Amino acid sequence: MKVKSKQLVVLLLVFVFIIAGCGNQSSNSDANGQAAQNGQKEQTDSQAGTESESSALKTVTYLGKDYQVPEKAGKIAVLAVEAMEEMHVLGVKPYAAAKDMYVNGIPEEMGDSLDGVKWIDSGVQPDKEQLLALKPDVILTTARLDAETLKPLEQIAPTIPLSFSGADSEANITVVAEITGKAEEAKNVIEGYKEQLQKSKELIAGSSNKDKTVMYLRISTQYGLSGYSAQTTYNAVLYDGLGLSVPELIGAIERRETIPLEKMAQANPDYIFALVPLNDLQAIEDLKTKPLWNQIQAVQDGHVYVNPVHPDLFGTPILSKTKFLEQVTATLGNAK
Amino acid sequence: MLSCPILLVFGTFLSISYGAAIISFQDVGHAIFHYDSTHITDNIIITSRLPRALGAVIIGLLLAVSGAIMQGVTRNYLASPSIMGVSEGSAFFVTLAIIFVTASSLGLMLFSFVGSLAAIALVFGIAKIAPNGFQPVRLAIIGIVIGTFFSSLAAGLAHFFQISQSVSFWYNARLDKLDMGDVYLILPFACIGLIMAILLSKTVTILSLGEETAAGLGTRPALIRTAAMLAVAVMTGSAVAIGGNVAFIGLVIPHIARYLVGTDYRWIIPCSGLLGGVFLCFADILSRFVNYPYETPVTIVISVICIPFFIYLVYRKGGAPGV
Repeated sequence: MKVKSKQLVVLLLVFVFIIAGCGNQSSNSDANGQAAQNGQKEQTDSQAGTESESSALKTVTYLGKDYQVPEKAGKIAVLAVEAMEEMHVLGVKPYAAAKDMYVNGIPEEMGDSLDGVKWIDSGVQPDKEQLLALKPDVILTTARLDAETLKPLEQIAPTIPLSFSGADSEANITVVAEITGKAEEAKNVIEGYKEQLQKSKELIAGSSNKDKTVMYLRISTQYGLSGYSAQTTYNAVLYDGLGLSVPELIGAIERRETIPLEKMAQANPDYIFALVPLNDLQAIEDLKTKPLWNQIQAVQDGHVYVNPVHPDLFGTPILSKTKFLEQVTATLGNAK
Repeated sequence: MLSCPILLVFGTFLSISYGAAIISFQDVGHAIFHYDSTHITDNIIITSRLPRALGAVIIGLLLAVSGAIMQGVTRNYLASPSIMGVSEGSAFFVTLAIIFVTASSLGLMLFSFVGSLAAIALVFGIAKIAPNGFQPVRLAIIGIVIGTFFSSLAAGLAHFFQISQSVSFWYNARLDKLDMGDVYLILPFACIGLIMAILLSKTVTILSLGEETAAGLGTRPALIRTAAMLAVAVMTGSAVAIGGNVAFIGLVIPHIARYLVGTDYRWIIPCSGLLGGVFLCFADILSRFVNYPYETPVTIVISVICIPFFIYLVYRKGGAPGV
């Protein structure tokens, strides 16, 4: 019995040793930029619109559904990156935002829009108690969440899940503008994008790249090569927007699929615009060791563009689309 | 049983012939006999499908042999690398290596062995001091608890150090990402592990009769058990290092082998190996066609086949020891 007790003690010590070892290491770590940036708990309430200014309601219609929101919604809680981009481009600071919304730290494209906001824990599925305590007027989140997950948010405040479809970019910015009273700004942003898109389309149509096979992919160690449907996020810019032809491989995708490398090699695109998480750039280095990857035309010609825009920009909002469009135009539009 | 080598060759041929890209048999023949590195189809066959097929066979073989040895030395029909937390131990140590030490493939493989060994030692250590700890279901529970413990630690570390993606990569089966470098890397370790397993097979048979009988027959159970666990660590560690966590093969295949060839581990071990190779090779082929032309994780295919078998084992054999 004594021997067994001793063995038990030794085993428990092994457990404690492992846990303590890990704990020390993790506490010594810098916990990366995101935690530091998101850890600004001391907030001031001095920012504009922190108090709900009116209890009068208005109806906004978004993608065929009516939402009752305060006439002047000052306290807007933003839980998803796509909504954050709309807020930024309209020049409205959110009252509260989901912590860890951006995996790799806040992109510089967001400027100071998140300075001084109240952070809510647990990312896109937020801590409900914290959210409730903040009493937001409106919650902006994403349609990537299902109806069950949205329900408790809707009980806290009117909740608008912004669509991730590349075809709904205008509707997204318009509804956020209606809520924040920035309709004119939204109109200008949309018009500006359309003008830029038209110019780019003409430029590329006149270049030798007009018939090239162009793909947008997200690449990561975990999921490999991810392709999206022709209407999703940046693909909407490439195909619907710029009029490039939809590769067969992309046309067959309903929403997102992991594309086998052999299929990609056979599709053999001429240009690849790849978004790779900033903390997983090794994924693209690993690909470079694969003979099949190196045989793709885009790779051989040096036409693989890694992170032409920040990988945490979502791709549906007009802000992301505009940035992406600029890069694609600069790449494809100048070849004669 | 005699059909196994034929099935293995047939499976390998199917595996290199069918995949996301449609390639004719003529082109497959061209790739094999007249490989030209400038041909895309030749490269698909030689640099992608061939290592994938060979890797699947080797990983299936190693995991099944590991499971057979574990079941023999513990007299526990639920013993296997995935249920005993061995694969999780391996993945946890790989996580530590990625964060603190090395990212070289060989370095990660060595850490993977150490992790396998640590997990086995911990599970068996607890089983030894717990009342009736080696009783099949109890040992399985201890294994699952230790496995969960290691995966939780790995997940926590990965979160703190922002490498969740790399770590998930290690946890998930990734036969589709195998290349010839991985196959060359695993070969020496696979050979060492298999030689150890075959050398131990006779004594494992004796041990599977019960510890007292084994001691009475002049064997040294503690020594055999240690050597057997070392062989399991080498085989599981190397399999996890190149292919990720492929569950259930080590559990189910040895039972099928036992059903086919009886209770002698001199037969069970090589037969488990062959069957394991065949099984993973065909499961991998199936996984390419579930959502064709896109990949479906091979673990889904394996689980659908193996989980009913696992439940059947517990239902039929309950808590009684012996295999």
